[in-house]
Amino acid sequence: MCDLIDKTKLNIFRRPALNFFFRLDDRLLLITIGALVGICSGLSSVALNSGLMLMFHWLSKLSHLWWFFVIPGIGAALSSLTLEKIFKEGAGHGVPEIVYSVSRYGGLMRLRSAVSRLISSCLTIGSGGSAGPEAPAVMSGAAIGSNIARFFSMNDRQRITLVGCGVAGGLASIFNAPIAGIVFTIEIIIGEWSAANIVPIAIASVAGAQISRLLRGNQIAFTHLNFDTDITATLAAIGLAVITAVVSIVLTRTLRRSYAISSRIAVPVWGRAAIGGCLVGIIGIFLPQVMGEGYHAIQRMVEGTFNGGAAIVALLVFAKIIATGLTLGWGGSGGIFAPCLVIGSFSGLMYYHLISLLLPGISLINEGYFALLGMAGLVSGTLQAPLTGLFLIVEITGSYEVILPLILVSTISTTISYAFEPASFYLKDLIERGHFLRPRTDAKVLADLGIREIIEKDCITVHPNMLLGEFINVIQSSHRNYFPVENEQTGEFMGMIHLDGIRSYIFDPLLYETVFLEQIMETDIDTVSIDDDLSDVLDKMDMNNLFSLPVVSSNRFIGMVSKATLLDKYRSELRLQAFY
Amino acid sequence: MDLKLLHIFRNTPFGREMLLGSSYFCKKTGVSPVIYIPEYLKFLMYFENDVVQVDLDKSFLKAPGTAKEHAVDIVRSQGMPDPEFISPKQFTASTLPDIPVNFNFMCCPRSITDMSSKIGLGYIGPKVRRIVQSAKFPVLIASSIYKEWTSITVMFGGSANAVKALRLGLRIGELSGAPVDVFTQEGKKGRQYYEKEIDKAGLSNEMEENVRKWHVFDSGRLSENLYHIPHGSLIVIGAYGHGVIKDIIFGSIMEKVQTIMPNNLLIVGPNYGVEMG
Amino acid sequence: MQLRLDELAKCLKTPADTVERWIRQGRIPVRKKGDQCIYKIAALKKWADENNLSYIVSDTASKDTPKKDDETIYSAMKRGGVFYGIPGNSVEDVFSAAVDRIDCLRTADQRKSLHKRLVAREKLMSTGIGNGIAIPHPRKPLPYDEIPAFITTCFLKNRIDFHAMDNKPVHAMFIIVCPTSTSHLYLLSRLSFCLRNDGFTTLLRDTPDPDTFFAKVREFQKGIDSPGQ
Repeated sequence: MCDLIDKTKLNIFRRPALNFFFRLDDRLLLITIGALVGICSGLSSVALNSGLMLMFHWLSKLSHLWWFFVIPGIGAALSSLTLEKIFKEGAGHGVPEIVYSVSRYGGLMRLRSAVSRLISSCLTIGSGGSAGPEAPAVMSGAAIGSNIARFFSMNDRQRITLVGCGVAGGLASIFNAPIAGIVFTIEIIIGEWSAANIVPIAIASVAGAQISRLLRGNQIAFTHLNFDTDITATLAAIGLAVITAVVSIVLTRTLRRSYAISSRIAVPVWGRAAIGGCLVGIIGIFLPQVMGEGYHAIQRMVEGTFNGGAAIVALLVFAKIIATGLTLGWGGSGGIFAPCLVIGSFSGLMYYHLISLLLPGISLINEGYFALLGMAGLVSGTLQAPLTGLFLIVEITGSYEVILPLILVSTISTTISYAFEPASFYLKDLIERGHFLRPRTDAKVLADLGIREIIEKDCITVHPNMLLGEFINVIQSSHRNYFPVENEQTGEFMGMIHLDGIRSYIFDPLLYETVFLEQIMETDIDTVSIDDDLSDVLDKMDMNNLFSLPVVSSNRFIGMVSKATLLDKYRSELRLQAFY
Repeated sequence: MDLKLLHIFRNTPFGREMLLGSSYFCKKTGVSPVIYIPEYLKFLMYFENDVVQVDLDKSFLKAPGTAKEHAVDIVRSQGMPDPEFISPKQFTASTLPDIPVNFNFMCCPRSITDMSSKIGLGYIGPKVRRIVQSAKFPVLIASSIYKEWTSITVMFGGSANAVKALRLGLRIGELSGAPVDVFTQEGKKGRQYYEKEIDKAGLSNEMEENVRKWHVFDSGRLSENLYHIPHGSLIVIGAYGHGVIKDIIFGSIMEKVQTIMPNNLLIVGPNYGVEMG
Repeated sequence: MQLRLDELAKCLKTPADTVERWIRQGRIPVRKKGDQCIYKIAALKKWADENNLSYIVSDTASKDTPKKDDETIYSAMKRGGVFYGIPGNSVEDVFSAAVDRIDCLRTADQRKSLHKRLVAREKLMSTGIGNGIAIPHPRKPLPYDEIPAFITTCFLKNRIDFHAMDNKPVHAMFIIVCPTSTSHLYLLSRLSFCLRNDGFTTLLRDTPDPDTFFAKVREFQKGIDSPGQ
């Protein structure tokens, strides 16, 4: 049939998995397409970056105007409007949405997300808002990966890998740091190190970084400097870790408060963004270093050429925290990565000045060292991603000598912050709502298995008007201990008979002709509905010490769920996850 | 029977017509209606290989206080028991709920935005199309003014999707007791080709026993022949069996039918699984 | 290989919803097109082995044919046969006489074996259940695989004292022989159900002819196998 031939031709293109060559092992397929995704997401990051630089360029011409502080307000309002009205995206932070989709729906994302966040964050950050371009770049990369996977009709597992490729490519491209891209993806997005994933993600990451180098030149974001570390410096790092942990906690809580305050104001979303932006602008008049992403400031701090005493720097730490809160909490669009880096450097610098003041005898190496460590500390503390922070700093500064103190700061900062704010900033919403599902965890298995997969429908139903004697015959031919009672005419579920409950009666022939089932059935029983989550079902079973529950939907008995069957399926599911 | 139909209720007179149409379908086929009264303007439906964002028109959020009451009244007026209501449990973002997709049918208006002018003929909104393309369930597009149907007409074009539509049509005929007609426009292939397809699908016996009449048109244009479909008939038709691109280039029968016919339509997408409905 | 989703689910003995989810998540080497599942048999078998599942293609209706079919009380009794006027003045004699008549036993060894066991069981505890009826049987199944399950109905010429519970002499006995303990229990319970019925015991007292007898047994069987409806 000519129909079939046409379809086959189309399919080989649209469904490369059909191609004989690839069918042998889809790893090769994933690597190829992963590289493609990496390139595309790299391009989108470069586009974002160029957009930002363009906006800086234009707007810096206006910096002398008296009303310049309104510019961030306008930018934020426009960004919010674009997101709401033009793209109809629906508010939401980028990275949690990626994690949500990966854990629940195999990484399906809307195509509009590939572009919407790029434009809106360009507007917010370009106009001076205090946010970072990484989260939008990452979100855009993820959406690109997801939709390329959709185009090639891939299954969930492959799509998740490609989303990871997009994220890695995007991040690697923004920072020109391929390893950080890989580590971030695995640490935050995918949540597990699996051999099948690492290779395509690594390739995508390299592809993204390469694109960035090609188009923007091979620059490490901050110039390489030599730090001679010694014991004193290493010990000092511990102190810094504590400071950064505290600052991380303050940052997280400020953001949350900021968000809470802004949602109570009865102004449309873009109005709030405008107000927040203007406030940032006002702060910016006095402390211009808080506006925008702040990479220039970081550069100067790392190089040790930052002008400012202890007081100014301390002020900057808090000013930047507030500015970030005003931008992100009030409706602006952007990420928190760059602000973490900036606040981290400021914190490091503040610590350096503090130490110099308190212990004037000690000769410390220059402040750039502390700025670096501060950055790592903040990233670890706020995002709970110590490895990402570590590799990122090493890559973007090219300073390998500081690895030891970096590890110290990262781990200590993470540990301390964890005690107060147990969830990463990216993931806390998800965890609060119970939507955080990592592969091969109990939550994930229970979310995957639905009631429909474990329901057993081999119960014999009986009627309330049946005599006990007839019921005995029913028991003889049944395989179960539970018998649902249904109304004869309407089929409505009325109650259950459990053999345990009636053991004392069933051997008494006297009762056979005198007892109706409605006298011995239990009506006050716990039931579950067919749409309930398995975790809720298990909770109910545990609370009431039951091993079986009836599933009742629209007042009709559908079947039984039992812990025994659940264990069986749970185990096979877990084994399956181990292989794939 | 544990079959469910998803209906997104709009608490306006147009919405009432839609729900009457849905409830009538449910009554005839023994399916239970499940109603979603939207609280947010957008929602997401995650299918197997696609995520569709549905942007509702503001009219869908009208008068939320009376929505539930009205919906229950409408369903009761058809003599059906009270419907179930769903409220979404998962949210992709704070204002973006996920609506489950494990239903057996879904009722959509022709367009999810309230362009009453477009609700007239000839237009199926792009979101509805995407839902048809990705969903495992058939989509019921009720006529814009409530109309009862007393027979079923299956459009059979010989493709794999058309076979699915035929199976579904026969099944609905079985459930509702309404007579089933089949309608084929011959085109280039002769009648034997269609008979062979039906034979391959193992439906020849059912065709003999349960189909009232098989209209095969070997001449005349489709648009004119469609007049022979009775006005009180539910049309069951397959869509996108050949892929969207082919449809655009070569034209599709589904397009013509939905442009010309004001009847209730039940569209079967390419992902329809025969164990449903 | 191409199968519909529900058929594949049946082969894997897993609910269709689960198989569909596995295909969507990429955990099973099966590709889905519409409602058709496409896969290579060898790859799927390997996958099934790795994951402790079975893959069995059943073309015929994969219903478990209930073995009970050839073990309903009616068919067992028919197989065993009805014998009248069994001679003998003691338990052992009537056992011998009955065992000699049974068709299902082919060799002398089998008959001797059965006789020995019946006597042994009887010595242990009387199988007279009252009302003149006894149900002798071997305590453990006979060690011959080829003997099917059967119940031989014997009407005795003389009434024999089985030391039954009600001390009444026995005039009818049902010899039950089964290849497994499960089927033995099954037939025994079905038989006792029949024997609880007064009408049946009265009938037995009158030594009915084969047709009436079997008709009554058939009636009982219908009653047992369709409970509660």
